[in-house]
Amino acid sequence: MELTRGLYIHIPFCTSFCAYCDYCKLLYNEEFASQYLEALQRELDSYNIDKIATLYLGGGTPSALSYPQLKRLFDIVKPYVYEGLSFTMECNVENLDEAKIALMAASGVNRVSLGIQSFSKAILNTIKRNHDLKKIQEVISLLHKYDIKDINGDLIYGLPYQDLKTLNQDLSMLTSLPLTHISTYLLGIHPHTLLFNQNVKEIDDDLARTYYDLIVNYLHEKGYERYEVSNFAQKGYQSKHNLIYWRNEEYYGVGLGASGYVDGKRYTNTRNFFKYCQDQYRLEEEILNKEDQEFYEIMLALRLEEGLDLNKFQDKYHENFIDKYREKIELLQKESLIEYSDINLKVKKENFFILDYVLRRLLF
Amino acid sequence: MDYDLKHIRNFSIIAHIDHGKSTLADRLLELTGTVSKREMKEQLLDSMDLERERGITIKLNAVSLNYHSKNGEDYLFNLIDTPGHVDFTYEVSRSLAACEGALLVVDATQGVEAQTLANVYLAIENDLEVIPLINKVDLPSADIERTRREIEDNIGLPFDERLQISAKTGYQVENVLEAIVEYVPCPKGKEENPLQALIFDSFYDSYRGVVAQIVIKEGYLEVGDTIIFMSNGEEYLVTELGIRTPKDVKVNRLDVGEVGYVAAQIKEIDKVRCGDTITSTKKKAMQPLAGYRKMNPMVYCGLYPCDSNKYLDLKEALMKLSLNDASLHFEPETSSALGFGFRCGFLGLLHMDVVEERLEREYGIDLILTAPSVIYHVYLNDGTMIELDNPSKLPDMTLIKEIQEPFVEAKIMTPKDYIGPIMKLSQEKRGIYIDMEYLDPTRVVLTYQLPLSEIVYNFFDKLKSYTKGYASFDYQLSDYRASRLCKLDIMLNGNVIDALSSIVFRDFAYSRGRLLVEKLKNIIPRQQFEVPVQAAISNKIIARSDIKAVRKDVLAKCYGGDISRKKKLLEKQKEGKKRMKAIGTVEVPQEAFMAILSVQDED
Repeated sequence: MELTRGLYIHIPFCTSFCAYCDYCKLLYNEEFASQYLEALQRELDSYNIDKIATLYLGGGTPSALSYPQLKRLFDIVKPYVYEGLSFTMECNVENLDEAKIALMAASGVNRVSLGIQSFSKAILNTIKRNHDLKKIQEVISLLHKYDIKDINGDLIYGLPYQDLKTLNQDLSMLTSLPLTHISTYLLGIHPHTLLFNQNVKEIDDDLARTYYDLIVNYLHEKGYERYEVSNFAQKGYQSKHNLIYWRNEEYYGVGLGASGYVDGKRYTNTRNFFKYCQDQYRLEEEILNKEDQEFYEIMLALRLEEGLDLNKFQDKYHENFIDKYREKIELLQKESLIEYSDINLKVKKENFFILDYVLRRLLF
Repeated sequence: MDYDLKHIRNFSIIAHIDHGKSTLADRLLELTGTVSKREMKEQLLDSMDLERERGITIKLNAVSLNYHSKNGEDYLFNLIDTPGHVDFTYEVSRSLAACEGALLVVDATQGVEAQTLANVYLAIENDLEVIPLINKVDLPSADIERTRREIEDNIGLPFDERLQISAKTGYQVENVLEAIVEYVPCPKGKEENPLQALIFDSFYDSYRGVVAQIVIKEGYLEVGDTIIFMSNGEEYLVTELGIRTPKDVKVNRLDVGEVGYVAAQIKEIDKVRCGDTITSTKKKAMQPLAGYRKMNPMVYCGLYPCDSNKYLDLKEALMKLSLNDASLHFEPETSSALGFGFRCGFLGLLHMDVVEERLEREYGIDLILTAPSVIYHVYLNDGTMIELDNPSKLPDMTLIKEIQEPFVEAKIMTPKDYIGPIMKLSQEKRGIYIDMEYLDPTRVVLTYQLPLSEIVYNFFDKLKSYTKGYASFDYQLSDYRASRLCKLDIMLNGNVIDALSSIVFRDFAYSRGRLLVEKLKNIIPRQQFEVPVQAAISNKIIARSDIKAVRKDVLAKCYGGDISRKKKLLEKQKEGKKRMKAIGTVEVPQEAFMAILSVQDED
């Protein structure tokens, strides 16, 4: 196993909350944010990290930090940044300006992920987002000006007020932008979110499937190939950091509510801000036995178009995957759910949206 | 301490559910110092988790108490607990056979109920002295006068004024102890007679083998004796004797009149039958004791392990359960849909429920039960008769002359306000009105003849909801009658699923078929391909509904923190899947096999 791990750093602050978000987040407050960055530094130091494979600043909204705080954050990660490192930062267009972008570029950020979600006014109002195509175009031009050209846009489908027409419009506007990568997410309604409290319901399975198929075909025509259930990229622009997750490789998770996978152990940090600032990081830890590791390996790899690497599986677990599940594999292959060769086993393209069904058939 | 016969009292407590039997037992244990307040946990005799949770007594249980009477003498009381529910009449009859007296607990807020009467008659049949108590006199809604009148007028038992008690607070409970001394006769056996001991319960212990609970009716028994089971002649050397206080206390000898347990390294559990008589090789009895009334199962269902590898475990578990539940019948059967399992007979639905839960909890076996069925008498054209306990085995209709189904005579006791709804319900359930009798100006006993199959479904639940729980209900089998019946088959993907077949009244068949396919469509999860669900009578399709193909089943977002959550979710689904049965490629959840019961709620 390679010893370099990914590094994920969570910045929980937001200047406003999106109506669907159940991630670990806090309303931005200058004093808390400064306090938080110091705690972050302490947690990061505690791992004695040597070299990292990728760096990802996620949130929350990392761009919600003030300029001096952002500077502090980049100072904290500076020891890990090197030439050629894939360094992504999540941003909202609402709180990016040229000064911050210049700082990001100077600090090594070479990939930006923009939370776009939709372009429809009615939809943006219900999810409590405030931007438009023009603003997004301006931000992207600025990013390009500072040579940050690897840009992801997020899109959400299954939103209230959305139908096939508005989804088509959203896709059309999204693909008019110079994006290298697009992530699309089916809206899930989770407890403790505004949409949940407003009693908004998730769309039914058949409609979700219709939307998903539309998205996959639309993006394919525009040159974005699906490489994971919800992720699409132009050739050569797959997210290196996220591939670490799906290839079941290890990563540090640093910050409030962050999760990591280090030395065969998966952990999740507390979401309690005050505990975190008192250096009580861990909420839970899961020590994985071989069986758990295999389970994760399969569950994650089948999310990818590349599927499960059978040779890697053999090397890692000293077991032949096909032999172990032969009976089920043959049945699922007969039913056209999966396909396999000497090299890999994958879920067939048309079955990505029923991946969990396939997984249950395969593993249980 | 040794007691002569004159100082031994063997008694049980009979009561309707919730009238306070287990609470009274707790108080008696406490007052006699058998169990200190500190050791006391609620409802001590209800030792099964299931019993404590549901607040009912299922299995009988025996305990010995020492009591120092106000007359200055010491007594040994053996309290043998009885279940209160109608399904467990057999258990009641077993415990009564071991006693000379019974305390009848009547709730002062409820009065005498139909089922109380059934158990009282059983006690009187067994020549027991019945002592009525009025319980819960501390409650504001207690009507002591009315309850007392009911006891004296409806049962015909004299009531001792001192026995107005509250088992909960302990009020006047010491009078109960005195009444036991005074009214319950002492055992009548003789020490010098050959040993006759009645087995009234038994259980299996992996160290001691079968442990039988016994009452010594004649003679005595010592450790080292060789005993003989009179029903099969099997001989065993007694390795341990004891009494329960309620902890097991070893003794060297059980004397005439005493209640205790015997262990003899008996590993073959089918050798020990409740109701059998034990005698000794030292002085062999010529005759066994009269057994007790044997109850026949009224309700049958198929019982299958979800995991077909657990078949032998299930068999073992059923054998162990039947060891102290002689009313549980089972024999192997196979189903093309469910594989190898057992057809089991139960006394009623609660009994079925309890057995299912015990198998799942105590033996860790996930089960699939098919919908319960009664026994039909199927008369063929050639004059032969088949007793049919499995609907899927019904011969072709062209071979059948007629089908008869069991009818019961049901007595429903109710406040008069609910007469209308009960009559409506009974009519819907094909009931035949027989009689209506006023017990007093407010309460009525309605008598109906009803097909047992309708009762097996949800009559009792409906009765409760129609009468806000005020009505009580008891029934006994009356006869078999020809009915217009047919077999309703269910097909998945065009294949008849034998475990889903049922026998239904012809006039109900169409609506039931339609409701059932709709219900199954909703219960069975979507599969890769569309699956038609069809209902058929005599190969003719009467209803169809399609389970659509799965279109979306994926977690869209899966990054850092989502990963562990996703695994947990899948593991939970794995647990759920254990309770599913794969029929062909269709995954059918456990509750689908019971769907026919809930369908009838809607028609």
